[in-house]
Amino acid sequence: MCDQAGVGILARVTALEAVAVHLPPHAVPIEAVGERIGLTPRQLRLFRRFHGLDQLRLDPTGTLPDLLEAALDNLPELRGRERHVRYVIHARSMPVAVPYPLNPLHDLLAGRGLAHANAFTVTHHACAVGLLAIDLAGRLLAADPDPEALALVLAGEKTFTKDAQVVPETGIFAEGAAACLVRADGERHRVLSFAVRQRPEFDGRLAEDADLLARYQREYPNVMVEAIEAALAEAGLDLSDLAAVLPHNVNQASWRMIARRIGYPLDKVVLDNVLSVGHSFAADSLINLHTATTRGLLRRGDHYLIAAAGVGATFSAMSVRC
Amino acid sequence: MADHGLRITRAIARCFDGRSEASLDPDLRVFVSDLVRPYGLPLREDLLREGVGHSYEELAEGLVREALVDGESVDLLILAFDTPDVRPGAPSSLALSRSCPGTPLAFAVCDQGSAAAFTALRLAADYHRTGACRRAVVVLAEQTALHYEPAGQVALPERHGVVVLVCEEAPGPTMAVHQIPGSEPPDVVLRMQAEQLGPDAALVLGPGLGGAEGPAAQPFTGVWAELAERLPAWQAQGRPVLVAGLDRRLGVLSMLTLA
Repeated sequence: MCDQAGVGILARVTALEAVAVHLPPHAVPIEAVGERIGLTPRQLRLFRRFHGLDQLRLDPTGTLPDLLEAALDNLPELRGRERHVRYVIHARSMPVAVPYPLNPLHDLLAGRGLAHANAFTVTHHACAVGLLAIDLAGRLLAADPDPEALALVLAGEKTFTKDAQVVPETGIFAEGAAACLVRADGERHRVLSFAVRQRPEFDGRLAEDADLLARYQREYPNVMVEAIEAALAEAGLDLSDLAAVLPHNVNQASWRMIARRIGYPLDKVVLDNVLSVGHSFAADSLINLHTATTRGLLRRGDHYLIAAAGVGATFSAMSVRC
Repeated sequence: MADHGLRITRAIARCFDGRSEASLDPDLRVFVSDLVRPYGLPLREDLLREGVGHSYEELAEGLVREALVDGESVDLLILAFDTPDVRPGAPSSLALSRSCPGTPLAFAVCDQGSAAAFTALRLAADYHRTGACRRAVVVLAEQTALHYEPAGQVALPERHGVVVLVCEEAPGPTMAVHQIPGSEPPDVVLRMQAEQLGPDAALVLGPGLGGAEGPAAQPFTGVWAELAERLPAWQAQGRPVLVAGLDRRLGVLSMLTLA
């Protein structure tokens, strides 16, 4: 990426104004899901004992729009301000989620007074795509002269197929959803930096290619740390400045390893939802931000870091000032 | 740099026949079976057996290399598509980034019908405006095969098609994108936009605009292929350009001006 400094560059603020989540009430032990999707007892033991997984929030009868709609229902900050929403971005891990040409995103918006918004899906960063969507929202809003202009980032997906149910030897997916209002003129939760590291050489069938899986697992912590350090450096922050790290919920083991490697206290990595919610694709970061704010883990002026990785492979980190 | 915007400096378009080996990958059957099951849509067993359809990575990689033959570094690669890839779960944009000099940030936009192509260009311009991109590659792709019966009428392309647009910071006409969801009537909006560009404006209009009716042979890439063919002459003549597309299904009017 080119230098951020320079004459004629549009200054921008990307602020996360409000976050809402929807966690389906149906909590299922990983063994029940594992049996349904064909995981072996050995694999399930690995997920529970080594990776620290326990329950998954799923909505067996709900559709994709049901998930996103429920997240929007929990976002009172949107009500009465729909006309200010310029963009709606679905941050989606799976590039294809419904049969063509169905478009539940647009159907949903029509029923929520948001049909005027420019709505699209951003994808190919797998479970790291939520951070990209926030960054895109800020860039789009930077060109809007209206300080009240908003962008709405939605995240949440169905576990409809094998690739959307399990990451081999790494994690099992859940169906939490989130909605985030982004604006270009907010004081709270301002994004300070966003770093992305991509490794397309890891695109492939991890389930069938043991060598690829081994190389991916070996490189994973290195590249994740590289993205984290880049985000911190860009923001002029040190790890000791961070009140919390909000990870994606793929598992506990990888974050334990990363926290140890960078020397960051594990108790400040928000891992609670790995156990109780599961890995909800790109919604994890926002679900964990909601957890951190509602539990009082973040105070005004605190710095925190959101980090996520997605198969394919993308590693992203974003530093934010509360 | 202060006065230089992002402009389209190179545009290459190509149509392809043939198929990808991925069209016979058993994973494709698993994916589309799971995809359509909740909707009760029948699979196209004939296409799955025969092996029909192409992957955006395979279709575009040669064209991306051709467009970037000068070897200059790329900051951003955005893939836009409407119809699904024959590798529906694959991050093709990341794979395509390997065909670019440099290490561009790569991602894809979709679920916006023909408007997704305009959104990709808009995002490229926004990356430039916010200091994160001096050279972007926008890849537009469509392929012919849908491996199930769609829930509604769809206009699939007659051939696989790819357009590669290289956008660079440079003096000269810069690009601006306007998108109007629910635009009625689109022709009035379009006429006003064209009038602003003046009498010399060159127009490239998608299906359903300016009297053009009937399904296009290449619904997603067609207007961009026409732009690719004619842009060098228009740029040499110094003419402003307006590219417009109307996605009737979603009701989105999109306009790109190069002026």
